[in-house]
Amino acid sequence: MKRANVANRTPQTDPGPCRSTRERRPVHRLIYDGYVARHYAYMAKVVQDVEPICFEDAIGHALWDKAMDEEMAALDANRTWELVPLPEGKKAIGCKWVYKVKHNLDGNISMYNARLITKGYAQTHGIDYEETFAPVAKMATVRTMIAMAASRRWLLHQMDVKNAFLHGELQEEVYLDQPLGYEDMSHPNYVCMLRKALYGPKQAPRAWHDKIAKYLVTISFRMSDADHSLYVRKSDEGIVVITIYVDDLIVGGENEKEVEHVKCFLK
Amino acid sequence: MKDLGELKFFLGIEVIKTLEGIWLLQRQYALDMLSKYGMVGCKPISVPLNQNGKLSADAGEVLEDATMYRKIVGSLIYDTFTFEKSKKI
Repeated sequence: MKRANVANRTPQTDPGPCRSTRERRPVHRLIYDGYVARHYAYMAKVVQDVEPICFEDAIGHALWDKAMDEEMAALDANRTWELVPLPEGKKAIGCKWVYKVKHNLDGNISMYNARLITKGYAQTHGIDYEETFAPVAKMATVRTMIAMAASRRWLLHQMDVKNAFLHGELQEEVYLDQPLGYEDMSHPNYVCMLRKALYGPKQAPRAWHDKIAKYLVTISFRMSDADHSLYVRKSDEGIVVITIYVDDLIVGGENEKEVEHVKCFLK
Repeated sequence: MKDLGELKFFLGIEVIKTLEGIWLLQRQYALDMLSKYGMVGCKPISVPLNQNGKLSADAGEVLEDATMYRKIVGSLIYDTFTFEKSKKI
């Protein structure tokens, strides 16, 4: 998808006020006149650090443009949605960009991150979402697992999932307005029918949990009845236990080879 | 999915494996909170509360940053939730 030329960009829908009413710390207004070169450089750095709060602020800044291009490329590659005409009687929900400067541990900027999120609060129960509950590990489960590992001398490893929610597959039909700045010029009235979850839809956590649960079952794990975020696999090679907390996993087991094996599967 | 190796830190609990067992610590979480809320190096002090004090909605000073206050309370609640005498199991 190509970004429309900024000058020609005509938002198909009014994005509405994009500032929330939350009280913000004011960024002290900078005056750009009468500084020596070194101070200009310093101010450029400060300004670079400011996170735009809406699309209009970000567009035209090379760094943020690139971040948005990357996010769009990732969404495309993930085949997150299909452009379709909006079926009659359906409503599309809005989306917006959020921008975040990520810092390294040493305080330097590590990346500029633009993320497309959906306005999940505009969804209506029974129309574009049904169930939203998603289990997460209980503290008691985590503790018990660590205790078991300690007493039985198991190995404990941890894994995490990047962009976990983007992997979830949506059961319901959810339509999304085309993302600001990336509208398809040949079909300006089309909307995005979501196949995969994004950040924002109410059912996203559930869709993600369904996805990982289904996968674990195919590699012969069994969901525990006591805590639905606990998965156990018993075999001749030894027991392997997985606890899931949204996108963080603890993998434990008595046989190092088996644990490594499972981890290979999960990758 | 990314392999992070041996379990070290999960939900704010630090996990340290030793020969005698596994330690669960809140040390890192506590230190992170102290630096996040600008309390590094502060001395602990007991703050007695007036037992018979009456709370009122409109007397007293308004907090400068209520969100920060709520964040701190939330962090403390979580800290008591993971607390079980940082212990060896």
